[in-house]
Amino acid sequence: MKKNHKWVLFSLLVVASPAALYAQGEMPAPGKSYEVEEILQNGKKRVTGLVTDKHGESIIGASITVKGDPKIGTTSDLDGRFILDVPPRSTLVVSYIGYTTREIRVHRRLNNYPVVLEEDNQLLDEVVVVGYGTVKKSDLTGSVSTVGARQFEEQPVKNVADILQGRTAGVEVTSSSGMPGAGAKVRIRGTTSINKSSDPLYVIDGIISSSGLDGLNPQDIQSMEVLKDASSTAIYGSRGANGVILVTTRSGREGRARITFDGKWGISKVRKNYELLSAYEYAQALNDIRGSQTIPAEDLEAYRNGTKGIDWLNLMTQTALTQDYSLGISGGSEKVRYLLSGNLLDQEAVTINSTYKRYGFRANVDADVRPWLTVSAKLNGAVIHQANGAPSWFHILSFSPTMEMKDPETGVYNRDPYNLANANNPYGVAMENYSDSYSYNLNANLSLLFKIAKGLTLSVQGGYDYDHSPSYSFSSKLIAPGAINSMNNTSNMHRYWQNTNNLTYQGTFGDHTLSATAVWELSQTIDTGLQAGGSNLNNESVGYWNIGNAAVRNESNSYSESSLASGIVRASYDYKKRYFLTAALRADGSSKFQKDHRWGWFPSVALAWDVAREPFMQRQNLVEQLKLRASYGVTGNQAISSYSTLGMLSSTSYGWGSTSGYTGYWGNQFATPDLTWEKTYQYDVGLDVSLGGVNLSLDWFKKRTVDLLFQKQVPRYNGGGTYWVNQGKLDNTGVELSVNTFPVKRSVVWETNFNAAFVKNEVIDLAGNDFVLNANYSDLGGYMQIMKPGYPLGSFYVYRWKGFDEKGANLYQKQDGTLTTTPTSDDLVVKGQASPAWTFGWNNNVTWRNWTLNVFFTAATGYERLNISRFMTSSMTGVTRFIRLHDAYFKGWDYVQDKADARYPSLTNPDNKNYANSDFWLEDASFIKLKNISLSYHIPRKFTRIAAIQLSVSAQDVFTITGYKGMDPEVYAGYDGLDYGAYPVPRTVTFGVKLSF
Amino acid sequence: MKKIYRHTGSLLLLAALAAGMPACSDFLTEDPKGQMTTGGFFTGKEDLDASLNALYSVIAVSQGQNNYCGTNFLAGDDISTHPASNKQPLREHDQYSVTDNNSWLVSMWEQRYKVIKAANFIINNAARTPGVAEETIRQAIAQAHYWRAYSYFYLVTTWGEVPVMLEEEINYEAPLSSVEDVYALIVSDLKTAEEGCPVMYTSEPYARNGVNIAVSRGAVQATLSYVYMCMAGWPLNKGAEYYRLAADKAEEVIDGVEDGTYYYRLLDDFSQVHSMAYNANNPEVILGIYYNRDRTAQAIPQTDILQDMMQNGWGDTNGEIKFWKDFPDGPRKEATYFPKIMLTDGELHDWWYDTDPPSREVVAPVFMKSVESPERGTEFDYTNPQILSSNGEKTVQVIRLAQVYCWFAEATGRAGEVTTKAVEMLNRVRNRADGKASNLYTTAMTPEELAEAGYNEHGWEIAGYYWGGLASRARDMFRMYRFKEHFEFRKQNPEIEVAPGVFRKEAVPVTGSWDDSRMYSPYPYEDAILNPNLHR
Repeated sequence: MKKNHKWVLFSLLVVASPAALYAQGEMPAPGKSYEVEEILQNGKKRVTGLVTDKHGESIIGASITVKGDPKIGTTSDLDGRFILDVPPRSTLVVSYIGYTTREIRVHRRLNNYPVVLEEDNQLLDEVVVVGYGTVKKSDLTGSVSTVGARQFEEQPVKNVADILQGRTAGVEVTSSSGMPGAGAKVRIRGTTSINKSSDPLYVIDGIISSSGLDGLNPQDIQSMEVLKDASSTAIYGSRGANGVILVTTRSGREGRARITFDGKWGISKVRKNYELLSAYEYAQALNDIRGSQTIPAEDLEAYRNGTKGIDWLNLMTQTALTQDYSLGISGGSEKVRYLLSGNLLDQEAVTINSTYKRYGFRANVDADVRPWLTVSAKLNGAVIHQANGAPSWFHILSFSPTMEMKDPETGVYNRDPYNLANANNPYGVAMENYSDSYSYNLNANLSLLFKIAKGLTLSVQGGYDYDHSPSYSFSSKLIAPGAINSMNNTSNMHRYWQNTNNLTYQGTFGDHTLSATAVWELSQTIDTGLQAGGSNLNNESVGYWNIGNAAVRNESNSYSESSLASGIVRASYDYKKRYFLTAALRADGSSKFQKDHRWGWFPSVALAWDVAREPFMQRQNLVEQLKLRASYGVTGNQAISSYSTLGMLSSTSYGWGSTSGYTGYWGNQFATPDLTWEKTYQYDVGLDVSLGGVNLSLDWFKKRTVDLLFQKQVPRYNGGGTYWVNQGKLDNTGVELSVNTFPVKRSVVWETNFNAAFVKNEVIDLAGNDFVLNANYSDLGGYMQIMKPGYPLGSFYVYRWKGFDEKGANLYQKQDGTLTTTPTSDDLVVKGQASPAWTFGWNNNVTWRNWTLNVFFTAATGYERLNISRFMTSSMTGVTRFIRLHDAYFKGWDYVQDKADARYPSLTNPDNKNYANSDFWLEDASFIKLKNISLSYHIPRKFTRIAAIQLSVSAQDVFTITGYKGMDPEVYAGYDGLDYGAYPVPRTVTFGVKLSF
Repeated sequence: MKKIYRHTGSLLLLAALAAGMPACSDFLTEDPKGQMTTGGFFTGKEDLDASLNALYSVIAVSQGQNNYCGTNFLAGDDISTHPASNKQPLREHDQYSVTDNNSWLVSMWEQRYKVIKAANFIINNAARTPGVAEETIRQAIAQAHYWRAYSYFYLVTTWGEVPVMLEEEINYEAPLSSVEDVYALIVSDLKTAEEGCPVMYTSEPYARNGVNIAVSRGAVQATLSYVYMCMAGWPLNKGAEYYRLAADKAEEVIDGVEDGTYYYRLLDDFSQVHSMAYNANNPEVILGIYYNRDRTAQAIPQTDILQDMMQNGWGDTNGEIKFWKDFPDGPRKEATYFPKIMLTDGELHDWWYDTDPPSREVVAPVFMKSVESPERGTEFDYTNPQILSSNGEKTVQVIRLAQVYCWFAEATGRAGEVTTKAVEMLNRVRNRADGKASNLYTTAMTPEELAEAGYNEHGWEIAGYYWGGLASRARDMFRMYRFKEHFEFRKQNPEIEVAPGVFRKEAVPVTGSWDDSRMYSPYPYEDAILNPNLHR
């Protein structure tokens, strides 16, 4: 029993310790002074010592034994000290999990031995968290990538996506917006679903994260494991098709309490702007195109000398400040270990008025309450407050600089008289309207681990995720002429519970190791919503807090619930750590499907062979590992919303001309009782090589998704809209490579980590349709994208632009190859794709004495962005009645003398047709970004006496090398791949200080 | 050791119990709280009302903005648009050259069918509502029949052959029904509606302020009259027999007004017709669609003035010059067009004002009917420089009594007759337009002259009212096969003397040569790719 107990503790500590790679050459342990050798009566010599890490922090619980005589031994105490009586001239062996074991000769005249342990870089011994269990990295049969805290600790990260971006092959993270608190698109091995979420499943300490990761403080994350192949993800069955990300939070460690404080201060600014027409240039252009009286002469003069005119970019952006503080306290006794942490993040947006604040708290406690029972409780609380949403960048870029901001008498902000139709003044909106969204999130996770017998454990785990997210908004009548003021309160509540019961047996019989797991799991999600709003407020001073003040009111509420019941069995077997086999089966029953289509079965199998363990490989010591892996499995997707199959009536409200609301119902949706799971079959072949200090992983995979949850277009003559079917096929094929090594490992240590991934996405079948159009902007030319067998998802569907005709109208290529100014739908072609084919990450850590330098690049290529922002600022179409882009005028057909120099079409030719879905606006978005560069200096405790201090200065999103003409090649808005006023990621400079007491 | 096992055992049992607690079948069966299914609907009067609320809500949305409705009526000779800017989808109709990828076309198509779908929901399900008077059910179903007919009428006069959907099911192979068959359905639906719709509703929201809000019998009869006129004309060309039917139906409305069955009457001044004072209780409106900015606002038409005007127009449409020139002077013309326009210099100008050398992009008369004052509920004043709001609540006047008078006259004439009654009705319209009892029309006219007089008066009555009405100028021209003539005229685009010595012409060029495919809009490609039958 005791041994068992130790094993558990052991693995817990391994999981908890920051897996480290740092190592230096062996040095003798110099004593402070020579002393007289003292031999005890039993003939032994008493030695004392202090075990510390490279930063001088004491290591508690390190094992100190005598080489060749393991019976003599002790562990370091709470201060890292030890006393041991050893035979003279023996050798001490000092070891601690996660650190390189050191041997120290006992000197004749030396009694005191300071021992500095270096962190271990032996990745193969790492324990990796997999679904419903853990496994040694060397024993892995599937494709799993680990991102440990060490990999991102040099980068000031604000959210989980920051951690994942560029860190591991096969995980593509695209920032969709530079707004604080904005999400990112995370894709593991491509996009597997057409109409349903392709986001991976996040699991925090064994509990599905149902309310997102926003409330999680990145500082609390110990490691993240990315499960990629089907043998790893099939254990999550109906939710595993998009890959799974397992988040493990930090735990306390036995020993003296450690207190850490981490403070960061950041300054952010927009990195790149469009070159727009100045007020004077714009006024001249207006008079030139719209008629010479459009801007009267006296105003023209005022725009010229700068007494009038609005610089919207300058007005709407700011230098944003970010503060991020974390305080952590952790420690524990032999039986009880704890970690407490608090976090405060206060982030301003680079556009005026918006802030994002997060206050977080975490308590993780593990207690060995009985030799056979370990209790773990994890509690995470967070309050998030987002004040005022992002302004529309499209409006900022489009509003005319030649206008009056507001009516001086009434204070009402003006709309754009020349360009943008029907849009509210963005500055007026920022000044007069306000909104606050909150999230109150509590995450509780309790698990009981019973050690029933040798090798046999039962864990009973319960998790509860509570998220209350109220939001409040107020809109003033001052924002536009004739605007009606209004207020709204919304209160959404999300509750999720999960019960997981896991029975695991692990045993070794000679050369045979067997591990078997059976799991029974239930979970349920309940969402409720309550909304009350009103308009025509008598008095604006009450803001959003007095609905009684609204002459017209509206209200709504909602309820939805979904449940999942699951059973899982899994067995893993290996022979001599040479041959490995894992097989698993999960059954999921989902309430979202009707009775006969409810249960799904998700099997998987994986094989591995470590050639390096074969006898014939034992003579060499160059190859530490040479493991071949192969796996196959089935995963699913059930991410439709509750009640989707039932065909509910649609609700409307109509006033019949009055201010009263009359509720109506009509049958706008279609019932789909036969709907069931979407299934993804995945094959994976992989190779792990550890060779002369280089760790290399190579994977090839093919994923085929069938019975796609496909939102089939209903013909408009049937009322339009869409309905769900299980039809269609989609393939993702790819290659992933990651390399980790230490090119320099002397007094300067350089660790480098490079990863590259290629994924080819291909639509195979679309429920029998020849193609399906997507991303519709009816006022900009129609559909921007197409799904078509043989092409990837997110393919653009565009007219081929071929210059200008003799009057400056856009020429497009027709199907038959001739040119026209009036293309029809027959002339559209498939071109380009929204998601990168290749993604790269390159992370470097260089340490020299107390200095650490981190340089981190990300890159992507093989994809396009449809630059609608550029289209809209240089074309008169849809809601834009004029142009804003400098080049659209000065390099436009009407302006240039030599028409061969024209880059933009005529603004006066009635035959000119503007289409956003034209390859004129489709731009290569390949980029290389310096995501992070940081330099930090570590001041050991021995200098400061009180605390170890680390000072750092860093910069994020420093520069981007790209040919893309927009503000940021990465972000998108509306649909993937469309830059329609997307919010760019700003450049940030961060100063940091880290104190350890 | 033994003890440990015992404890563990009991705990194990507990855990197993906890895990197995919820009965599996219940746990996984959905109970959609707060939501309704078709099967569980139509259980009482409230549900019947709710289904009508939904139908009228869908209708209000479908006519609330000009990209949903009426874009095609720019084909009329009364109205044109901007030569550049962002008006491509409107311009294509004005040029009789609509492409299948016209960005507004698909919405215009879809919105009609949404109304049909909401109507079918009632037609196919409402009859089973228990505990409700048969009369009430009949009224509801009759209204649904009306709006279905109304929508198919829009479709058949815009696209010709279209798929006819009567069931709530998806059909990717729906065939095109012939124009003849679509009209047969329209007439049959309207007859059902005529029988079921009451003369006057008695309760809110179906009637308010003494006027019907929902479809009443008079509205159905008036619609039927105009439908018959269209059947008499292009492309079915059923001729005199159907003009007779049209005249008879119009006469039923007129007689109802005369004998007091219907409350309809002409307002005294034309300026009152589109006024806010009569927005909610206009006795001339036989069928209207009612908006309220706090609930369902309507957009666009109220800022449908020129871009270079002080009040900040969108420049979607403007009047055509020849039509303006032919428009007889009087109070009707003054209320139809801006008497003067205020440009950004803050000065009032004649619409034909331009600088020398010319500097204005669009020099054209501007319709004022739909413009709404920025001060809610007040009348629009064209001398007020205040910037307009694009959200409004002016009632969309689907059919007015004045139109029925015109139809009566025209149909009578085209059926080969001239009657005192027809002349008198037409004179009522014209006298108000002139602001005096000019009694321009007499029984001395030939039937042809009477018909043309009715046709023209109707055109002037509804000039520029392109998105909202049952019978726009373009639809009149369509049934009379007069697009071709106007196409040729626009191609020539002669200079027209609009004031002594001042010549102006249209800004939007029309090119190419005429063929009858220009009579219709193409099927939107978004649906044509789903159903191969959607090809001519």
